[in-house]
Amino acid sequence: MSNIRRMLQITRVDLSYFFRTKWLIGTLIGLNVTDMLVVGIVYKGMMPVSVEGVLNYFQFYAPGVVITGLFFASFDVGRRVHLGLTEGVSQYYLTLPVSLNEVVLAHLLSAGLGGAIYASILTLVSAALIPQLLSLSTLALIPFMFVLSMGLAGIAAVLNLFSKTGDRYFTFADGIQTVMVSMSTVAYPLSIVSSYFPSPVVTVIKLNPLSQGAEALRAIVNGAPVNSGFNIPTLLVTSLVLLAAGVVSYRHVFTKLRDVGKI
Amino acid sequence: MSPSGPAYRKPFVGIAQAVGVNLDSAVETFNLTKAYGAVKALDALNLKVRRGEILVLLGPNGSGKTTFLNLISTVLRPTGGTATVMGFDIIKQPLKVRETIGISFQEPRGFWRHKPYHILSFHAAIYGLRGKERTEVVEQTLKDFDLWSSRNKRFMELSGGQGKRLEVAKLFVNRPKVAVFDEPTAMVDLDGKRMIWDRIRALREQGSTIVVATNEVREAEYLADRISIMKGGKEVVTEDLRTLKDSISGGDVVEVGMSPAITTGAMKAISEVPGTVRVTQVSESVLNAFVDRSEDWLPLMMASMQAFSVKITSIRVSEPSLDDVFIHYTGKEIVKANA
Repeated sequence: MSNIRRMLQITRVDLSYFFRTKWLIGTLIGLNVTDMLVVGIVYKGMMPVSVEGVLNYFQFYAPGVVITGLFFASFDVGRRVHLGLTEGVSQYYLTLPVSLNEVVLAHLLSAGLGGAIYASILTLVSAALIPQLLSLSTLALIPFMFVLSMGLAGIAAVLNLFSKTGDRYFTFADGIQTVMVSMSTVAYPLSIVSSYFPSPVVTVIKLNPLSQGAEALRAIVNGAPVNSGFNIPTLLVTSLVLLAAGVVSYRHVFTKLRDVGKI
Repeated sequence: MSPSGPAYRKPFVGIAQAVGVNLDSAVETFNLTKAYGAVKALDALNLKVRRGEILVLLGPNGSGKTTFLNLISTVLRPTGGTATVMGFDIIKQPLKVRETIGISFQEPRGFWRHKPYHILSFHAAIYGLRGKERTEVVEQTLKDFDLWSSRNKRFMELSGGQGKRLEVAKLFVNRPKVAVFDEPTAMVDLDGKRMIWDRIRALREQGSTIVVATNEVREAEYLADRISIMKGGKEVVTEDLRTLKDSISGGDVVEVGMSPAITTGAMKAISEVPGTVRVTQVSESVLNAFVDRSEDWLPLMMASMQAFSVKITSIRVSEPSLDDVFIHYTGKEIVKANA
């Protein structure tokens, strides 16, 4: 059996653990759909029609929720790796005929797939009310969602590196998630954000991968070309930089595991 | 560069290369060392595991057994020395080593929500079993280890014994050339222990080399072709059980009953029989002789008694237990050493 196949087996098991954790999936979908529902019913008309070229706030916000869902699903790899380290499963992986790099890649790959699959599910849910999302453009966006998701998993990997205990990991993860969602255009259009924040912060918000993903989906909702909503090189570079950080972090985490034994 | 860095290991890697592949050894270590700061969990160990044998590592907690198993399985990286597994260097060829060796950990390893069936199925898939063959092997292994009725329970719902049986069962899915078991029957009930021991022996019969770490004397006696007693990260002695027992001077105790009573002359004659370490009188007609090898000593004793007017009415031989051997070599009872 080739090493690639073995690596994909680990990816499959890791990914299945995400979808197997029913309470987590239930809570995630519940939160994301509730978000859309509340916005659809209560805040739908809060945005002037002219802003960002969308018809109402729901159409603006739903893509944001999809990308937030992608972020949370991709980030879950950190929880799984943390569990793997504390329950000894990571140590078990290291006894199998796969290299350390392949174990690292398997986790990041499963994060990428988890985020992309979950975001696709949310897109389908949103498409019930926003039919524009059922388009070839959305399909074309999935590979980018996958890359974005792997990149975002890199942040979780960095957290794994610096969190020795579960308490710390989950606290840091909450903090990072809150900051990343707040400092993005998930909930507010860039035109509004720009009027409240200084330009360096606005630049950060623009570069935030969540903003990039949300804007791409909004472009589809508006019927514009996908790449009119975001800059492909920016998204790729940002994601790849984060992914590289993730690879380095997980390599360090698993090498340390080899040096010190069970964490 | 710290002493634990690659530069420190370099000379020992060279040794492994220079020695080359030893066809008799399944596992061979060359000054294998694992240190955590100033504490050496394994201290320059040189040990050979012969192909096709069951080697049992016997020692108290903290003696370095688990560290040794983890090092040869490439779970841990040595801080000094190296080892070969079926001729592959654990530092230079870890992937080759992992294709050859399998380890059953002391504590069962599995994600809480995965089920025994999926855990074994994953393990089988990693080792290339596919389709119907995989299903058959996994199902048979679950049945062999009394896990069939628990196959759809979640890992977190398994009892300690079930979890342990599942951990051991992994190695019976892929049947590695070198199978390593760390306390394979801890937390398992008596019936389960016997079942696991029999399966481990059967695995050896099918061609695997087995290394078992335990602190249970019964387990060691039941399984071992050879026993390696470990203490403080070092190997104290490695021999087969018979040789270990015989190695204790005065280890065999021969209780001799005489009629009508033991005379001073008979006592003296017995104490002068070659192989006698000491003789103590238990009662008017019974004595205990502590001898090296009772099978050599008894004919000599019988011959020496012909000159006396006493009749030997009973002879009872008891040999030293493995616990006695352990005390002899380590100065501690294994139970107290674990405390």
